[in-house]
This record gives sequence, C-alpha cells and structure tokens, in this order.
Amino acid sequence: MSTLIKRCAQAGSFESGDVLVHVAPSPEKLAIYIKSKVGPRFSSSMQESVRAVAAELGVTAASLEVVDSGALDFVLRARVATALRRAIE
Amino acid sequence: MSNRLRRSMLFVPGNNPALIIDAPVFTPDSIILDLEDAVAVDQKDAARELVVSALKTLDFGVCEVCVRINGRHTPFFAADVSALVPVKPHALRLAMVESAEDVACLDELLGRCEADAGLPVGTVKIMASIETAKGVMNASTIALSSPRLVAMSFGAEDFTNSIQSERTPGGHELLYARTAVVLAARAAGIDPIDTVFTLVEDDAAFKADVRAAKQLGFAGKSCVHPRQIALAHEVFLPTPEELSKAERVLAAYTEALERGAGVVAVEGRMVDGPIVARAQRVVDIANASKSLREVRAR
Amino acid sequence: MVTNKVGRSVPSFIENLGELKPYAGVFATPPTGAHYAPPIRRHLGIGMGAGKKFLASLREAILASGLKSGMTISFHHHFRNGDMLVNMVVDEIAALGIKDLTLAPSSLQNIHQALIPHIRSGVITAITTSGLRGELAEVLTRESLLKSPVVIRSHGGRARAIEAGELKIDVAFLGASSADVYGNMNGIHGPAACGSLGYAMVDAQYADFVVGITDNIVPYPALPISIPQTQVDLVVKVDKVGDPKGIMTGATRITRDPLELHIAAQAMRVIEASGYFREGFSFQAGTGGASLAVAKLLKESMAETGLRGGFCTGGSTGYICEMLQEGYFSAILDTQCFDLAAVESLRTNPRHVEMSASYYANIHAKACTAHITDIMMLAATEIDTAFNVNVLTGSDGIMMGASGGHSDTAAGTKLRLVTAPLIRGRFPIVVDSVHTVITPGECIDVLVTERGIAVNPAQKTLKEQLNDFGIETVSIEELQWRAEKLTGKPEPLAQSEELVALVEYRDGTLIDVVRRIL
Repeated sequence: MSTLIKRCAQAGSFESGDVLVHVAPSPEKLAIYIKSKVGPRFSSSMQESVRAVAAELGVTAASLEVVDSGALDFVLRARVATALRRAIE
Repeated sequence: MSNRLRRSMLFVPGNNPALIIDAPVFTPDSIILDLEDAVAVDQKDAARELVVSALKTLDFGVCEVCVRINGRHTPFFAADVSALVPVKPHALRLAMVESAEDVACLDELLGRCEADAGLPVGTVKIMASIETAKGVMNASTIALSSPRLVAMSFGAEDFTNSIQSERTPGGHELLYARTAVVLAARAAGIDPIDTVFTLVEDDAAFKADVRAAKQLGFAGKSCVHPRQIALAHEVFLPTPEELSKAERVLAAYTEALERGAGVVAVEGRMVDGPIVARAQRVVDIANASKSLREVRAR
Repeated sequence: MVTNKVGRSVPSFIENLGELKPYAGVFATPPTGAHYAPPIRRHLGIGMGAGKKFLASLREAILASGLKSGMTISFHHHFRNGDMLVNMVVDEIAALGIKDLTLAPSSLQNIHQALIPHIRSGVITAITTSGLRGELAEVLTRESLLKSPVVIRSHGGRARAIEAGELKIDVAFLGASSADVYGNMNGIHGPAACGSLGYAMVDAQYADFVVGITDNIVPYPALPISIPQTQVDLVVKVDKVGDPKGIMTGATRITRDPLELHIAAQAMRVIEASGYFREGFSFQAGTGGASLAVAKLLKESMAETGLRGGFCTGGSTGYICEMLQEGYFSAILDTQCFDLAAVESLRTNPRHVEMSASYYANIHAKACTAHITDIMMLAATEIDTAFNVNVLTGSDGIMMGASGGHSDTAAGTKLRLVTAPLIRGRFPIVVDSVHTVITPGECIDVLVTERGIAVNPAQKTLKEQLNDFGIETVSIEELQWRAEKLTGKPEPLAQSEELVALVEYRDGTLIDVVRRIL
C-alpha cells in the first residue's frame, strides 16, 4: 500500500551547498527532474538517491523537481525526505 | 571525571548544509548542531532531517557531536529526541533547564528511544544549559540529576533578561551565576561551559573573556565562529596535570600491549580505545603548541 | 598523436600551425634559433613633424599600420575586465573588411565575449592567449569555430614565443593610461591607471608595428617611461581605453572566509617547517583567498622575530606594497598591479619596479624571477594523484581560467605550495587524472587543503621536515579518498575527439590538449 502525496510542498533553499526540492502529486509514477548548478556529472547518483528516499517513505507516485546548488548526497536525501513528508501530512 | 576535552564548543545552525560540512575542519572539541534558536519555527522539521542525515553519513573525526534540541515545552521536543537517538549523537543539549525534573524528563525519553532503537541505555549523554535565575538557583540539583549529564553550560543573554538586567563589558552581573554553574558542575564531576561571546571581530576581548572563564573554573567556551576555536584552545592548553595523566595512560597502554595484556588499567580505572585516543590527543595538542612556540622563539 | 612525458596524447602536426613537439620534461627541450627582430622602416613621423605619429582616429592608425587579412594582432590584458580596447579595435578592423586574423592577446576576460560574432563571421580565425573566460570560453570549448585550436601559452611561454619569432606579431595595439605624442607610455597616471605594463613590454619590443592607444595624452615626455617612444610607431587618442571599475579595486582585501583562513594557517606551518622561511627569502603571493592571508601570517611572524625578506615578485597588491614600505621586503619586481594601492606604490616607491613578462618568466631569458624565487603560492582547479595541476578548465571541462605564470614559477621556484579547498561546488579537487595538465606534477611540492596536507613523494626531505615539525601529512590518494567519501565519484565528462585548444608548455612543447565538450 503506497503512501499518498496529498499536496504540493517544498524543502531546502538556493544557498550554495543546498537543494530546493519541490513535490507535487502525480497520478501514476515517480517523475524526477533534476537541474544542477554543477552540471550533469552527478545526475545519475542524484536520481538514484531521490528514488531511494521516495521508496523508503513508500511513495510510488509523485512529481519531484530538484534544483541543485552543489549539494552533497546527504543534503539531497534530507531535503527530499522533508519535502515528501510535508506533502504527505 | 570527564576524559574528553571540551575547550571549545562550536555552534552550527542545524539547517545550514555548508556550515555543517565544514565544522569538523576547524577541529573544535565539540560541535553543537543547533535545532533550537538558529532554526525558524517553520523549518524545524527540515533542520531535524538534515542533522539526522548528517549524523548518519558524515565523519566528524575526533569532534564530539551534540545536538541542541528544542525545549521540553515546545511541540518539537519529542520528535527531535526520537529522530536523533537512532543516529547516536554523543549528547543532546537541552536549553533553559530550570530544574532536575527537566533533565529527568529528557533522561526518561532517551531511555525509551534507546530501547526502541536497540541501543544500550545511557548511550546518548545530556548537556544542560542554565539560562535563567531559577536555573542558577537549582544548579546543584540539576548537576546531579542524571548519570547521562556530562556538561552544564551557562547562557548569559537569557540569564540577564531573567534577572531584569543588562550585559556589561565587565560582566559583573554574571559573576554569581557563572560561579554557581562552575561549582555545581565541578562538584558533580561534569564540565562547566561558559557562555558565547558575540563580538566576533574582537580577538583580544574574546581571549580576555576566555581567560576569565578559565580562571573561574570553566572547562570550555561556547563559540559562535570558527576563528574563536583556535583562540579558545590557546587559552585552554592542557594543564601539566592533564598532560602527565595523559602520558601515564599512554605509557600504561603501550606497556600492556607489549606484555600482551588484554585489559589495561591506569590508577584503578579501565582504559580502552577512546580513552587512549583522547590521551594521545592531549599529548599531541601539548606537543603541537610547544613546537609552534619554539619556532616562533627562534 | 604521440604520448608526451606526462602521459598525455598530443598531436605532432596541426594544419595552419605546423609541426609540434611533445613535452619532454621541465628543462628537457633546448632552445634553438635567434631572437626575432622587427623590420627597420623609415618612420612616418621623420621629417614630417609630430602630427603624423599622433593620429586622430583608430581607423587611421589601422590603415597606416598596413594591417591586412591573415595577419596577427596583439594586446595586453592589464585593463582586465574593464578593457575596452580589444573589442573596440576588432570592431574597427571588421568594419574595414579585414579578416582571417590571428588574435594574440596576453589574456582574455569575460568582457571579450563581444568577439564571438567576429569569430563566427571569420574576422578572427585563430587565437593564442594565456586564458579564456565567460561566454567566449564556453563557446570556444563547445564549438569548433576557428581554423586551428586555440593555443594556450603561459606568460613566460608567450614572451618566449614572441622573442623567438614563433609568435610573429604584425600589429600590436597597446593600451596605456598615459602617453605623449611621440609614443612614451605608462600605466601609472591617468583615469584608466593599471600600474605595471609588464605584459605589453615584449610586444612593444618585438612586434613589427606598434600602435599606442590612450585616453590621456600628456605633455612630452610622459614620465615614467614604461614603454619608450623608440618602440612605438603610432599614437592614437580614444575616449576611453578602459573602465576603471573593471580594471581594479581600491585595495585587495584579505579574505575573512574561515575556511580560507584555516588553509592559510596550515600553509604557513608548512612554510615555517620547510626551511625556506629565512633571512632574505623571496616570495610570490599569487592570487586567490588563502595566498594573501598567508602574506599576513608571514608579516605577523616577521614582526615577532625580526626576520626580513628579500624580493617579492609576480603581481602586486596593496598589502604586499605596504610590507615593502614597512621594510619587511627589500623590493617588488612587478608584472601586474592588482589594485590602486599597488599602482600608487609603483609610482612612489623606488624599490617597487616594473618588469616585463620575459624578465618574470621566460625560460630562455638570461635570468627570470620565476627561476630565482624561494616560496610560491599556487592555485588549482584540479590536481591529480601524480600532482599534475589544472588551472585552465573546470569540472565541466569548459575553459574558465588561464595558464598564467603557474607553470613558469612552478618550474623554477624552490618551494611550490598549492592551496585549495578539498571540495569545490561538490567536486573533489583531487582526481585520478586532471582534465587538463598546465603544470606537471614534478614541479609541485605540497598540496595544502583544509582536510589534509599531501607532499609529493619525490620530496622525501620536505615530508620529513614537515613531520618533524608536527605537521601530519597523508598521501594524495588519501586526500582523494577523503574528498570522494563526501562527494561520491563524478561521472566522466562527455567530450569529443575534436581539439579546441592546445596547451603549450613554457618551452614551446605541447603538454596537453582541450577537447570539445559535447
């Protein structure tokens, strides 16, 4: 039984070293869009991390937009989790 | 008796990724990831999640990692504690402690969370922050209120509000409170930590403030900026007694290793990995300071 | 393609550039030939009065210079991002219908993005420079717009190439903040003051035709004489040669960033332990946050101990000039002023003198300061496990910096310290293999980061000295591991086989190439 995204929510910031994650409901699947200030060389690992956090929270359908300002992985994971939790409650 | 140095405790806003990542670089003795005053009310959840993620992932080296959680009577208290215990910060710092009961409440909640997480009870330590007149008056009972308590800090800003006075450069209005915190802490065998100094640009005034704190018996200083760390360490160099004790620990450990002994005891107390590491650090710090002084003197 | 001494694959021939030699070692390739000499000509001004040497417009000057399609033009970069000259001159040249030019400035800045249309239209078909920045650099890294790859040269390498006739300049357009009608020029006085004209001096001496351009004509003779009238063919006055705001600041501030200060403190300990911090030591501060902070720490130590330094070299800032004034150093040999305080010092302090890029860094000069200096602070965008350093391309493979004096000074200085944050914008500074080699690893002694210090394994004595001093050192692989533990390993860059730039080492050999980024 998957967790439902009820509303739009966001977490994080545009500060250097942070990400801004925006979550919106989506009918069927997990759609992830990543735009990074540091280019494409971490985009695969970022995709993986976003998927992993969504899976941990049982989210199978959502639209996630990530605007990255050079964040390390643990920051991305935290912000995705916060945005999803805010969208779930 | 504490084996850990707490000469500097660096406050780091818990919702700021860049500052969290850089904090260990400045080698403060302790890092305090702040979920309380440094975080806006609508970002408490984000900061908590970020700090938990940081504790899970980052290597803070030899720094003690503490988290200043939101107060007992805020809606964030329980969520902070239950989220943090599984990622094992060294200690939680509780602000505005006014009574032994405040600490007992946290102690009890920690016990339940540790059990839920499958951790030995007592894993996470407590630091109590005394910031009001009531807290100062109850300092001695607070200091004895829990075996988890490792440090007691003094917060001057809120304190001067609570006595309806103002801070002055001389700090006369703080004298009794500071001394009370030191006495209570030392009597209980825990570390007293002095309040922050916010004039970040004034190195000389900061050092004078730290010297005064050391003289009063404080074990360390709360820092709000990395540049304060080195200055605090200069003032809080290990004493000759601390140094010789550390040297005895290392000598005993080395000798025991050579003997092939499984357990090492120094002056009747068992000595293991972390204690040996800390003793080594005390010796290293003393040596490093010594060699810098020698070079400067050339 | 052949493999050179740092393991890079480089071409041995490029159309429109000719045969190329691979890098063979720091001092492995001997010089050949003689100094180039510009033709002697009857001067336009002789017998016809001053009016003919001093022209009313840039257009007239270009026509009088005899500039034709296919020729090479040069500029200096002392006006930095406030430069208006390069764009102005190229616009004028294009309007005259001249094209297929080789552009040979000492460096290029963001402001030169205005050249992009001229490149697309074929006015400029080849470029040689020390550096490229901003949109111009991005376009040149992503598209093959020129008839041959950009040739990147160090400051010393450019001077060498010009003196040897390998880079033959047909017309040099040299801006000055002050000039007289016979062609004496300086960068000291005038609204567009820029200080030392070190990067213009070699052009003035060796270019076939020299046009001096200023917005400030002064009574004869224009003193001090940085570039003499004997080297200048024409003088032109324009409204503005540069925007003072873009040229320089009032005074360069020492960084207050705690991380940079921490790195500086670590670097200072390395310097103290190295044995080179002794009476009469010479020093080059370099650019960048941590290096000026090191100067401050040096001063504090010298104030305590009474130690006094010798000369400072490279570029000057107000802080270094103040140290000269206060007697901490004995002289400044200056190719480039970075702030107005430095310009003022150059103007008033007889121990602060201008030097040319050749005097500074030319490998074949009879002596250059790069070979005499004791302690040098260097920057890096990347450094690899062989200690090779990149300062030209970023983590995205796009050109964004300059070769500058990096490889020149690293070849000859006694203590070569690279200071850098271990991580920059999520990317580790330490990589398996730098994207572009500017300075070979054998020229680098120590890497100082906020998370550890690594000594080049070839410097065993230095490592022992640091350890004896109580400085912990680790292998560079350990630093790479520490960085990647935080950042993860980035995916490789997508690049094509097409070459967009060649990196020429200071002796004229090829040390690396830059490939087009997809």
